[in-house]
Amino acid sequence: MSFFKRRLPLLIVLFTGIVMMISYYVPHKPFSQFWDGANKWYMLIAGFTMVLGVVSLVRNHYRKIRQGKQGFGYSIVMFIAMIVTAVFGVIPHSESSPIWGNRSGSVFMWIFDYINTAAAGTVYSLLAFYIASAAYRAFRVRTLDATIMLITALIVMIGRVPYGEMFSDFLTNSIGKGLVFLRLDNLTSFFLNYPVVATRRAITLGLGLATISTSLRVILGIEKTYMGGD
Amino acid sequence: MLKLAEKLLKIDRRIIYALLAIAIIIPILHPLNLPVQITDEARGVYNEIEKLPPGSKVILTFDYEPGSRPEVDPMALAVMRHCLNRKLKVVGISYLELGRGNGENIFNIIQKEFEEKGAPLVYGEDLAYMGFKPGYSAMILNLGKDFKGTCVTDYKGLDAYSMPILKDIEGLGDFKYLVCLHDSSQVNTWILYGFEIVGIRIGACSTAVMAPGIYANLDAGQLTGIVGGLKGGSEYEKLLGYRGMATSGMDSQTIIHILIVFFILLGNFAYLLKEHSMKKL
Repeated sequence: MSFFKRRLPLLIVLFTGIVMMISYYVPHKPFSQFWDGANKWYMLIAGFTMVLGVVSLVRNHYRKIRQGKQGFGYSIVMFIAMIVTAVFGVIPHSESSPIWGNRSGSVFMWIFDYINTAAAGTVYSLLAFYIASAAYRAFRVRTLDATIMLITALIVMIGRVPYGEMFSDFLTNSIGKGLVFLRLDNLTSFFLNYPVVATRRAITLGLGLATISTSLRVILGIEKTYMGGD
Repeated sequence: MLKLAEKLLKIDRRIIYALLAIAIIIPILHPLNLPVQITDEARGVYNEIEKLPPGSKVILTFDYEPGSRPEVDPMALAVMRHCLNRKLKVVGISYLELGRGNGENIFNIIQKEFEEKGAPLVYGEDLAYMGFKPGYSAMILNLGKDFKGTCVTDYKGLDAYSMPILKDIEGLGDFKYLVCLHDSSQVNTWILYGFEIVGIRIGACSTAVMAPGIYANLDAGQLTGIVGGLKGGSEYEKLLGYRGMATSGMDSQTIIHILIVFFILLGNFAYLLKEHSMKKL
């Protein structure tokens, strides 16, 4: 039993990982066939993960309702929303019954446009209010680092809007062309193209190295947490 | 002085919210028509489309969720208008479940718009929408080798093999350009498996939050340009010669940015005033 539960999955991961690595660099048979096949399998499995998601969602919310946990009313709303959306979306669309299916004019698309989009947009736009409040309360010149960040943020915020560009035009056209280096749009562009790029590259390289080391640990069976347990 | 500083520091957050709401609503009701300056990043996408000869095929990827529609939809509309006005052929696809509906809406708006101006587009010939395809990176790898075999059908269930627009398309590399409309790191996947493996040229239309993160890709030549946030959208609209949703949204965004800058300065003024007064005591 231990072989099927522990050893076999590790052997499958080891074999697949090594063959996929070789296939990336050797695009010839039989590796290319394995590569193509594995990618098609991946697409199918990715489709099935949705089923797994739905099952997990149903189980969790069902448990919440059955046990009458706090906020179980939201779980009921979730069930109603899921069932209504799924029923209207899954039944095929046709010219004679355009309310079914997931095409324009269907109930599914109405839910998408007027409930999903509206709710998601509302939550997203609330960020502006929180950011404004947080900026007022927390963005302080307490340390040198915070001061540098604050000045940079102010320049980028103003440099990315028309008033910033108008101010820059005024600076270079009315005060002096020598002040071109102070143009907020140029400074914004400088920040985005140099410090941000350099930092981003460092993060990306770090992430890449971490991904390689984690992948190797998984392939070689050192990292086994994905199997559950240790 | 200390009392004033403390009063300012304890300002009711509802006042901030109310001022912000006013700053958003007024420019929408009374547009300020502020001028927009075009950046090289937005021009990078525009110029790439301008360079393509009529009849070239372009692929648009709708990789953003409904919450990002106000920011990304204007860019999607502008890029599609640009492509179709230049007689390019546009194929849409989404690798996000929720991106599918966004793409469908954009395709419907554009088709209706062209019909109203007396230049109707033929679905399947001038444009086609493949809808959502699962698999993320694997899906892109498969598109690279066999586009029609990976898509099989479009979002209406029509056979991809019978579409004239896909007649001479074998893989992703047969498209001349790809524009990724995204609100997260999706463009990196297209770069990794589209640009690096197939060699397709890519332009990005990103939300403002995501745009700074992909400047490294622009610098490395993996992207031809970035249309970032409402600002990028308004630049693109200006390049096309019209004032659309992005440009009108920029008025509100400008006022909000200034208001937030004012709040930051006021907050810091109060903070420094309090520190100064405390030292004196």
